[in-house]
Amino acid sequence: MRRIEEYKKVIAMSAAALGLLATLTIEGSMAYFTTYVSAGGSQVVNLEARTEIREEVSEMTKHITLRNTSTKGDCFVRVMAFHGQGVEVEYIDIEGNGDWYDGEDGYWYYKPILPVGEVTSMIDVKIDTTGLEKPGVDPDEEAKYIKDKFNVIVIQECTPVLYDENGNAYADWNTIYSDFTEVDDAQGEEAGN
Amino acid sequence: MKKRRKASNNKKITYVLLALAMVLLLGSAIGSTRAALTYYSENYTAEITVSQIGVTLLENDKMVNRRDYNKDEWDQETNNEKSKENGILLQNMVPEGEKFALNKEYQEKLSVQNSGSIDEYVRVRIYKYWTDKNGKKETTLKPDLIHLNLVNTDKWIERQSDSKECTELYYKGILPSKAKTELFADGIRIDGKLAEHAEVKEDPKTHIITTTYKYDGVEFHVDVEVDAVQTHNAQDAIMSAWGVNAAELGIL
Repeated sequence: MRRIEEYKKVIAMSAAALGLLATLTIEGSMAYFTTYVSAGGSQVVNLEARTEIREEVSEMTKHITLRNTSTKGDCFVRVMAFHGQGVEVEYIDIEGNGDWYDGEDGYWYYKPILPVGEVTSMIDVKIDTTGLEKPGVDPDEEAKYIKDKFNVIVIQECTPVLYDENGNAYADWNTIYSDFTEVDDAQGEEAGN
Repeated sequence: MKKRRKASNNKKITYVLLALAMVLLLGSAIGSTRAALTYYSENYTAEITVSQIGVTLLENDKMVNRRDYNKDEWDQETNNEKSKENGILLQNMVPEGEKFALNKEYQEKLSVQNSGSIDEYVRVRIYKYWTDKNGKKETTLKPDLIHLNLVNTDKWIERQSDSKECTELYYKGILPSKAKTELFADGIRIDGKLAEHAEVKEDPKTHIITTTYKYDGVEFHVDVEVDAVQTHNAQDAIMSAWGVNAAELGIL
């Protein structure tokens, strides 16, 4: 027992030396050949759609063109004329090349993509007020009546260009835009940048 | 007097053992050095390079980042003039004269080449995430809206990591020196759902209709990390380097 106490220091130092040796050996066996490379890329997504309607009226006809006034995004456009009872409208694709076509849902669609800054070809909305005429009534009174009742409003809509899996451009007119105030249920990473 | 002599003897033994321990330590260090010298000396004599591991990330068959061990030092080059460590992806994603469009699939062919002189195992980690106009992480957008089209799924074993942003792909089998892997991705597409969050307003005077999108100006990111490890003692090497069980993953 006394002897052990005498050699305490020696034992401790020997243990420390052995520990050091063991560390060196472990480090050696853990070294493997490895290598790595990394790369990253990003792209900004610019989303904006802004269209302006231009209407000129002559001889009971509205001459309509639309301009894409956005600075960022190409889009598709469509128009629809709203009118009261007794008024009929007829759409005429002025170029006659089929760029404007009847979607049979009340809208007339412009087939080509409308690029930034570009203007559509013209579509005419011819207004027929025959249904408002009142035979036998004083012509001035009839004209006043038609003027009061005659109200045709052309509305325009635009939607950004989308592409299908084969790379073909299309418009998704069924998209229901959610309001800004709605909270997205998407779950992203919590970590900050 | 007898006690003093005994203490002096103990000290002597202590110093002798200490000297012995130091000699042992020195011996082990010299041993390593000698082993290293012998090792490189053999390489030199035989004119073969047995320990040069290397890996290269390829985008559309062009080098993005290469890092090889060559002549006792790391030899690295990238396609990025500003950085020797990080390559750049998606530089030519949108063809010239075109504008980026949602839902449109763009070519993004990604693969790995073994640019070293020894065979290796390879894994790839892909990180997808969004940042806002100020460069901060946009946490309301799912990484899933960035569709990186993963291919050759029989050769690249997918393992979902703990992070939703990260996908790990392990190449099945050994990638021989100078060989290329099959593609692990061939295209990228950003989901059109991004455009669903918008506000449409018409100016009653000018009749200009403006659609303002919530996510206008956000930026999507794809980062790729490629790791390679030696084939010798592969199970332990892969466990040590990547922390995964290679046999269980089925990549050996």
